[in-house]
This record gives sequence, C-alpha cells and structure tokens, in this order.
Amino acid sequence: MTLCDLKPEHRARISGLSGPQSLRQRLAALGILRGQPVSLHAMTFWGSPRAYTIGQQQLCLRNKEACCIEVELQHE
Amino acid sequence: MSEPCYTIALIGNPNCGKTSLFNLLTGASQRTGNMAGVTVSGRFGERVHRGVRLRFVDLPGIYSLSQNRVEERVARDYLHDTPPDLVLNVLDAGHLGRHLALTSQLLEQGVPLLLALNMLDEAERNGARPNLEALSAALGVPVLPSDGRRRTYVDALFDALLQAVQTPRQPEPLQIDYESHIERLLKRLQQAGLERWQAVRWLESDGDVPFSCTAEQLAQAQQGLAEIVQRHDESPAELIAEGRYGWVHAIMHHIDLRHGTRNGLDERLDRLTLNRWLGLPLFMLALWAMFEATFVLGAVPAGWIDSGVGFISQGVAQLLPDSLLRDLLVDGIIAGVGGVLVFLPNVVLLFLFMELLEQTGYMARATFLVDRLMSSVGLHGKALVPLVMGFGCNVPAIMATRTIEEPRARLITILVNPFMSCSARLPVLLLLAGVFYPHYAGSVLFGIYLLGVLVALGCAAVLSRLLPSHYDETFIMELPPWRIPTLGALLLHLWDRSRDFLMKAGSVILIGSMLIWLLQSFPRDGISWIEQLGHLLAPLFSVLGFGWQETVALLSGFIAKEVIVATLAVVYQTSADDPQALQHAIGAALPAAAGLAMMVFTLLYMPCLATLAVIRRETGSWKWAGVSLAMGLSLAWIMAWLTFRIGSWLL
Repeated sequence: MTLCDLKPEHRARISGLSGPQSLRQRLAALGILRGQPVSLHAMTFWGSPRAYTIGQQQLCLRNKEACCIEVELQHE
Repeated sequence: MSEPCYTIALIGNPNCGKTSLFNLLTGASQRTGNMAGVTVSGRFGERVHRGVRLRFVDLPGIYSLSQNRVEERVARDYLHDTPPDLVLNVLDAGHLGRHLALTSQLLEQGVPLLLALNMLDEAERNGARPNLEALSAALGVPVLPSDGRRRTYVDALFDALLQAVQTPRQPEPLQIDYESHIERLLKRLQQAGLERWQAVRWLESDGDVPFSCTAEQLAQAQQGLAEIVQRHDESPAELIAEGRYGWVHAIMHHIDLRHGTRNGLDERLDRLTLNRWLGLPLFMLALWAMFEATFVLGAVPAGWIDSGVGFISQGVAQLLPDSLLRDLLVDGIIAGVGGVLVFLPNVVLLFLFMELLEQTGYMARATFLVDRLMSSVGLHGKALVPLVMGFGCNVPAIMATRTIEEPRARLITILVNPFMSCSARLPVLLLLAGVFYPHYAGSVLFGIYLLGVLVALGCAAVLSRLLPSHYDETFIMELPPWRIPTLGALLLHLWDRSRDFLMKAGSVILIGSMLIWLLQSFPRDGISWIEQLGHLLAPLFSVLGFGWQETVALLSGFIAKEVIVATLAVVYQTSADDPQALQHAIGAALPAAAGLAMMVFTLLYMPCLATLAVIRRETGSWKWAGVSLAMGLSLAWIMAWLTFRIGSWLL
C-alpha cells in the first residue's frame, strides 16, 4: 500500500520510494526515507493534499506525490 | 581608510528562524537584492562589531545543497562562486534530526562553519534540549545558542563570529560511511581526481553540479551510477540520504538527544484549523476579520492623516501668494504625498496581520487548505493571501508574493494581482454605481468585485499554460510548529515594510502627481495638455461610450486610482466636495451602459504607477510590468466594449 491509502488510525513505516528521480531526490533530502514512521495528520476538504506526520515533522503532500511513497502497516 | 570586512553567509532549513536571526544581527541596515539573475532574493546587511565590518548574506531557506530547486541552486552557486569567509548554519534546536542533514553537507564540503541553534526554549519545553558542548565536540565546529526572537545570546554570537573570521581555520572535511557500493564508487571517483564531497554531490544531484568535471570523471561517474541503479531498488540519491541521516542519527545518539514530543496544544490547534470540514471556513472567517479590521481600524488614523494633510495644504495656500510655486506645492506635491500617506495605516495594519499569520504558522496551514482550489488554475496554495490582500492595495499584495517560492507561480500571482479590485478603485465604483444604479448599487459593486476575481483566475489559468515551467511544481511543504511571535520582531518587520512602502511608492507617486499637475496646469492660457490629450485619445474610447472627460479621468487614474474621481470633478467643472453635483453631471452626460462599462474599465484597465513600479521591482524587469499593462488595457477595453454593447442592447 502507499501513503494515499493510510487511514487516520493507521500507524505505518515507509518501505520504499518510487516515481521520477527528481521527486525521490527531493523526498530523500527531506528525510523521507525507508523505515521512517508515518501517520495521517490532516486531510483537506478535497482529500488532496493531505498532511502526514513523518518522523518528527508534519509534511503536506498532494496525493499524486504521496502515492509514490510505499508504506507497511505496523500492528501494535 | 579601509577597515577589515568579512562576509558571513546565513544558511539553514526553512522555518529555522534564520530570517529573524538575520534581522537581529543586521538591525535595520539590510536591503533586498535579487541574486544571480533569478527572482529568489537574497538579503544583505552589515554590522560593525568591535571595529570590524561584518557583512551578512541571508541565503534562501533550503533542505539540501544538491537538489534542483531554484533556492537550492542559488545557495549552492553562491557558496561556489563567491565563497564567504564564514558560513553561519542556523538550526532549529527542536528539530536537529532533520536540520543536521544540511550541516553534514557543509561539513563534507569543508567550508568554514559556525552553528547557531535557534528555538532552544521551545526544544526545552518539548524535553529535547541538546547539549551544545557535546554537539560542538562531536562535529568539530563551534556551536552557539542563538534566538532570533531574543537578544540574550547575540553579543556572545557576535564575539564568536568575529573570532571565527579573524582566525580562519579549514576544518577537516567530514567523511560519512555510505552504503558499500556507493563507497566503492566514491573511491573510484576520488582516484579520478574528484574530491570526496564533489563525488558525493555529483551522485546526489544526478550530475547537476556547479563545478566542472573532466570527461574521464564523467564517464566513471555515469558508469558507476548505472551499476548502482541496476543493483538497487533505491537511487544513489536515496542511498546517500540514508547514509546522511544515519550519520545524523549517530550524532544524536552520541550527544544523548532524544526526539522531542509534540506539544499537546499544537495537536489541538492543528485538529481545529486543519479540520476537514471546518478548516477552510475558519480560515475564511479569519481573513474576513483581518480584512474588516484593516479597514475599520485603519480608517481612524487615515482620517487624522487626511485632515493633517488638508491642514498643511490650507496653511501653505494661505501663507504663499498666488503663484505657480504655490500651485505646485499644494495641488502637486502635498496632494500627491498626502495621497500616499493616507494609505499608510491600512498598509501597516495589513502587514501586521499578514506577519502574524506568517509567524504563528497559520499561513502555512491556510496554504495547505486552499492548495487544491488554487492549483486548478495553475496557482500555488500560497497565492491565496496576496490575492486577498489585493482587495486592500496591490502594492503590499505584490510584495507579499515573496512567500511563493516557485518563480512561475509567483510571477502569475503578481501579474493577475492588479485585477483584484483595490480600495483605491472603490470611490470610483461607488460614484458610478450611485449615479446609474442607485437601487442596486450594492449588487453592482459585488458583481464588479466578483468579475475582478474571475478575470484574475481566468488569466492565471491562461498564463499557466503559456509560461514555461522551469521544474515540476510539486506541493511538498512542511507544516511549521505553532509559534508565538515576539513584539520586537513584529515591530522591526513593520518598520521595514512601512519604510519600504513610503520610500519606493512615495517617490513614484510624488513624481507622478507632479507630472499630472504639470499636464493639468499648462499651458496657462487655453486648453490644458491633459485635455488636448483627452481629445486626442477620445476616439479610442468613444466606442465604449466615454466622452473626453472620462478619457482624461482614466488617464489620470494611472497615477493612482483615487485621482479618477477628482479628475472627473475638475473636468465636469464641479467641486470634488460636492458629489451630488458631479453625479448629476455624469448622469446627464453618459448612458447607463457606458457607466457600467466605465466601472468595468476602471476595475481592469491598468495597474497604477506604484503597482507597476512594484511589479518591476519584484519581477526584476520592466518586461513584466509592460505585460501587466498590456494585459490590463486590452482586457479592460474588450470587457468594457462587451459591457457597453450588451448593456446598450439590454437596458
């Protein structure tokens, strides 16, 4: 699954990045890397962009970019 | 006598408090300049400390030195082309986990470095105050506390900066252990003659680097890159970023720093302001309140200024004998400068509210809320605020587009901004609506404002298809933590903006109003130049139903839209103080459809002189000011013609 499929109650970890090289570079520079914990922080009326808590930061992403971030659900 | 002078470049992530630290370091001595021919501006400022001149350069906020974003390119090229004597890396102490990644690039490059940690009190509140001595020891560079919002640490910081520039030392470049295939490739590239940091940077940026490589180095790098891409799911950029963040993690572990917990209040504020259903209405409410307050609160001091200007103008008129000089002073200079001064309270208040939105972190959240709306016409979420500000005055609104980082989205926002009906157009619209549609004046006014918004959005949609996009305009934005702004920083900002407004717009208005006065006053006997000009251009406008009087009034409105009403009063030979007489005169002279056409024309036709000047300044070229002028004039003419034709047919 990807970041787009994340529900508010979900806790997940990033398992990989896909998409164009420039996007991956940019995400990597922001510290959006494999193994980082993620959760859904907020959603706009239209459902895109959404805000996620990734590691220690809150980041806004449009769904187009968020779908390039693959995640694995964490079960407590 | 030349005193020693050193250049210090401030560099840091967005939202690290770099700009407020820069303000504190340079006081009010700074100026904004466009760097390296791009619209991302760097700011410069100076301070003499213990007899040594320190020149500060504020580079744009960046996450990395290796990406293809314009701001990052500006910072990277600045460091490469004009190496400063010292790089002052500003970090948010509460978010070292990410901010240290940029530091690691600077350390690898081996630039003379000093770290300043901001927001220490915030970090302490969240239970994650780093040990500065331990951090300094671990990194091998001086680390000082700083707080852009407090003066406490500034003197110590100045001393440390002075010591660092006077006894320069080249730090040993940092070596991060990367993934093994990356390491092997780095070794190969080093053998080919590249420095390690250059090799790392090459791989991180996909070859887009400021330094030149030999053909052999390029071949080696490209071959290595291809090999890594074959072996790994992850790109070299990701592998290097993992190494970098691994190093940061190790440093954090070494100095025993835990990640802070997010403050409960932050969570609650976010839950409210970013609520899926309430978020947008709440923000609209906040904007409406801000807008209302700007004009209600601003009207009081504006009234004082207005009567003050009137008093001075009367005094001068009484003191001086009837002469050309008196006319120039009273009708030209005092009226012109007074016209600008009257707007100062509104402008200052607008800036205050905008700055509050920005500093608290609400602006970033609002941007997030409206991004979808804006992006449907090729604008960025951040265009919302400048567009709304345009209802007040386009000059500060266009200055506010600086918060938009993407140059194309910013340019479009600047170009469509004049279509947002500014408060200077309101008197004209009120006058005409009152004359021709006394019973529906409110609805007509609302319609005109709506037309302005629609034209702005339509033009944005067209422009976004015409203008080339320099790079992909993604929306990847960090939500900064909620912060309480400090009074000092707010006041400094307001002073800075007010001075800017008065100096730049004031000089333009001053010269412009003298020019109109000249055209209105000469030749002393016979038809004035401006009337002659009106007759000359009247054929162009008679198709729209306007007479030469309206033509002249619209021409004078080029200086500032408020002048239109005053000019109409002069050419219709009525007193500006008696709107009734003027209304009758216009009502008798113009058909109703022409009145509506005139409102449409006034709404759209051209940015005023101050706005043109600010467009020129913010885009860095007269070309865009010209485009804005041409776009406004042609659209206004077409729309007014349509209005007049359809109106004449219907009414």
